[in-house]
This record gives sequence, C-alpha cells and structure tokens, in this order.
Amino acid sequence: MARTNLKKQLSKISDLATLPVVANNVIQITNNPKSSALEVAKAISQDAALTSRILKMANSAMYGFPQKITTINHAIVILGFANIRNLVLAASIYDMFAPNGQPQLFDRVGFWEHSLACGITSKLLAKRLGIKNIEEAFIWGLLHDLGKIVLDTYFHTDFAGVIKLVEEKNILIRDAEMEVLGYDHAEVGGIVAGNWNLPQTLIKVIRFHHAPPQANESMRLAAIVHMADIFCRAIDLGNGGDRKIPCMHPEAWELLDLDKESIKALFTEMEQEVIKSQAFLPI
Amino acid sequence: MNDKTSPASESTAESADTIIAGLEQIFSDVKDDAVMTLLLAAAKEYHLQKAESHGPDES
Ligand SMILES: [Fe+2]
Ligand SMILES: [Fe+2]
Repeated sequence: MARTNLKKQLSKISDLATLPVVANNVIQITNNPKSSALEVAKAISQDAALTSRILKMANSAMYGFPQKITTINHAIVILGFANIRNLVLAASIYDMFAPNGQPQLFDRVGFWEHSLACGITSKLLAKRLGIKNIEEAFIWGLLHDLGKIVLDTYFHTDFAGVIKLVEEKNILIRDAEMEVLGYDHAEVGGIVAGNWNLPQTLIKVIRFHHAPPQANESMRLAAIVHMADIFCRAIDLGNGGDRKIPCMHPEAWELLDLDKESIKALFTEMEQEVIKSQAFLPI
Repeated sequence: MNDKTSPASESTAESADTIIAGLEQIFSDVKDDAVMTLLLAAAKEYHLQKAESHGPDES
C-alpha cells in the first residue's frame, strides 16, 4: 500500500471503524459544557452491559474508593464527567477490538496488556510531573496504540505483512509499518481518534507518542505516554507487537531525569498498579 | 488476563537468566544510548531482586 493511498485507505477506515452509538452519544454530551450529569447517566443507561462494566471499573482497586459505587449517577458524582467519558471510551473501544480467542498473527491479549500497563504508567508519570487530572493520563496510555489494532482489524492483510517483517528482521513495529505501509500506527490512530471526535489532547498524544516534540503545546503529555511505552517495554509488560525497544526522546527524558533506584521503584509501582487494574480488561 | 502482567506468576516461573537474556535482546539496538543503558541496568537489577525475593525454588 503506497503512501499516496493513505488518504483513500483511511477514509475507508472512517466508514468501517465507527464507535458504538452509546459511546458516540456520551462523547457528544460530554463535549458540550452545558450538558448535565443526568444526560450522561441516561445515555450510558441505554446499554446495560456497558453500565455494569463502568460500575465494575469505577469500583476497581485502581481507584480504591472505600464505598461501593452502585449507580452511574453516583459514579459521575465521584469521578466527574471527563473520567466517566474515559471509562465509556475504554470499555467501548476494548469491546470493538477485544481478543476473540482465535489464533492471530497480532497478539491482541498482549496488545491490551501493553495498553493497560501504559495507561497505568502514564498515570504514575503524570503524578510525578504534577499534572492536574492524572486520570486523563490513564486513557492516553490505554489508547496510545489505537492505530495498531485498527490496522489489524481493517487492513488485516497489509498489517500481516508488517508483523511478518517484524519477525523476519526483528525490528520495531513502527519501522516495519513505514517499510510496508509508508505510514505508522501513530498516524492512523490520530486520524481515527479525530474522526471519533475524541478530546484534542487524546488525539495529539496518540498521534505524537513516538515524537513528543512535534506535539507542540501537548509535548509534555505526549512525552508522558512516550516514556510510559518505553518503561513498559523495558520490563516486558504486555506485548506491543515487536521484541525491540525504541530510544527515549531526550526532550522527554529531561522532564523526569530519574536515577537507577528511582527507575526500579517506578517498575515496582507499575507492576503493583497493573495487578489492581484487572477490572479494566476482562480478557 | 494471562500471566504476562501478573508478575507473581510468570516471573517466578521463568528463571532470572532467561529474563536477562530476553532483556539483552530487547535492548540490543540501543546500547550506545546512555539513557537506554541506564534503563537496561535498572530493568536487570529489578528482575534479579524480584527473583531473589521470590526464593530459589520458584525462580
Ligand atoms: Fe506506539
Ligand atoms: Fe506502545
């Protein structure tokens, strides 16, 4: 697939990859500052399975709320609009691209484990960097590689070529994508996220998680996910689709500049938090 | 979720040597980079200490 075909191919994706109606409604409602909690709750309640998933996530050890959250209304009061929207997104996108038990070239179970670990690590890094709403960072990490799963689903044959090249040459998946497709999963993910009207920050982070300085005003946020991705690969949490690690961008690393002991402490924290977040991926 | 992200199950079952060899592989292209060398050293120590704390019969 040549680079010139990208636009055509991706317009095909916009037709194929559509968010479930409820998720789409929730995004629209939460994008409007005049919306009420009741409207959000009503939209979510249209889908009973989604409602129970959201409640399960809101009650997970990752948040550690002492009191059990039993209604979506209660969850909205405690977690706020943006976080509820993120949980709806997490659950809906996971369901769209869940592992289906079939043997696959691209390891979807490993993919979601990598994504979850990146979400958790992004949150830990956001906390260290004093970012206000660290829960936002969770969704950035969770969805950063959206493009890979979109490619695997809608351009399966081309993406199979990518995975084959990764195995043959033992290279980074991103390098294989450039060689086979002429573009990478970050670009695809950014376009799909844009089509879905996801929040601007999320689109930028997905688009630039391999090149944080290009994210301009969102550079710090893209850097968080960039570093989280590399930390997860360093201790082999999940599977990003290859067996290599990319270099840390110097401008990203400057933000943290950890010594060896602090990195080890971060690794420990990452693994502990991953265990607490099992409710997020019902694999 | 399989045991990839459940450190208590996988890492204890896999010997520290195997993990270190895997890490060397993963980092083999970035050995000239100072930050990545630091990360590799931290990851190795992290896994060794974890294997130690889980006891010899499990690792
Ligand atoms: Fe990526
Ligand atoms: Fe990744």
